Amino acid sequence: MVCSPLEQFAIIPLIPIEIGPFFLSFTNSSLFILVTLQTTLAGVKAATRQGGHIVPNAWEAVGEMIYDFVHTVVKEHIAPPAVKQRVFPLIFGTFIFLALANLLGMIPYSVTVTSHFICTLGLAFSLFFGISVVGFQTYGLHFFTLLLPRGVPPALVPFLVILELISYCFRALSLGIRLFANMMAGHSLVKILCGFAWTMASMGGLMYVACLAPFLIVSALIGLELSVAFLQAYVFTTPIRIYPNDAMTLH
Amino acid sequence: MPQLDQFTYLTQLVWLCVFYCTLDVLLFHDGLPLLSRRLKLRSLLSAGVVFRAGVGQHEASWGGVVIEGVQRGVGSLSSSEARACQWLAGKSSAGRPRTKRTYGALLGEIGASSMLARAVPALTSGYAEPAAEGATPRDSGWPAETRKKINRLGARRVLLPSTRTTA
Repeated sequence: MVCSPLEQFAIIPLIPIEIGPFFLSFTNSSLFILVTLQTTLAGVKAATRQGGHIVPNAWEAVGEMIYDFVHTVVKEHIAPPAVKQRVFPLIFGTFIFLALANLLGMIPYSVTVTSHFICTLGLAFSLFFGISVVGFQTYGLHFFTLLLPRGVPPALVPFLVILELISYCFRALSLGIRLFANMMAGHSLVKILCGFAWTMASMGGLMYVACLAPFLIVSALIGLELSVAFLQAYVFTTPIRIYPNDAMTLH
Repeated sequence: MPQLDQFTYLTQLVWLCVFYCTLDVLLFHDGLPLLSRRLKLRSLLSAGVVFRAGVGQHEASWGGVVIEGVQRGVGSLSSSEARACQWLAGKSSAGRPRTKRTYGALLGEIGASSMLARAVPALTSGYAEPAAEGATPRDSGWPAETRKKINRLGARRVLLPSTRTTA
């Protein structure tokens, strides 16, 4: 029996729902998005029980640490208070959602929601589109001055505007692809090495002893993947911090 | 490759949208305001009233620090933090308590009056009664004006109109 390392990413419908030509089933991926949502809400509920205490207990301390972390990084990148107030809840929600989704994907036999590019690209494009809409609402057509940096020689203007436009459009694409690629590559690698370890153990003899090597590598990789889960959530929210500042302040 | 199965795209997008928007709405409405208000009230408590009980400090300057700390604590409590405090202790439009009378509301109350009474007993006791025999030399060294001012500020109870919590 040959198990493909990509089998773990299969989408399986749990509750089939078809409305005309549209396939809207509740799948295993949807289940894990729901589990992520419930875990986030349970954590926030635990951190805000009865309004809180002067000296925080463990759950409140964790909630406050995460709040403080996100608040600090938002303050670093965004100066105007008006922009900060509007953007902070979005950054917090996105960070928590992605960090927990990535972490829940590390549980054996679970589904990593963010290992599908449709999810990550959908999130990235919708956030990016929203930021652009807010930029246009604030500045109107003057928003296009974002594509022309100051101090550019007139001869270079046409080329630079086209380059900046392509770069602007590719921001959303790179945001989604980065997260998807990291998650998919990490999980595929762990699956492949586990396959090696299992095959070597099945062969017996010297190979049974040698299977310890891929097993140890897999253990180290799982530690790496846990840190990558948090890191990729942080890296996903970094451009979402920077782009609204660019869009609302036009520099 | 399962990522390229096009018939799963719509379902993933729709359910992601539904659950992500639910999370954002619940965070924006309930979770984040509670967290932020508690953090603001805690920073107010730690920054608003500061008592230095160190040995060897100059008495006159210490009195000035205490008065300034109490004034700042009392004054800042009439700001947005105090309104947040009142929100925590207040009632919803239906008349039911919005939250239980919590430590968050207690923070506002003890910010000026009870901490003052607990932390500086030597100062407050010298005003209403004659100095006791076992009083520290510090009591007699305090100017009367300083002690009167501290007691007046402590007694104002401008923090919250309702009664002290029984928490």
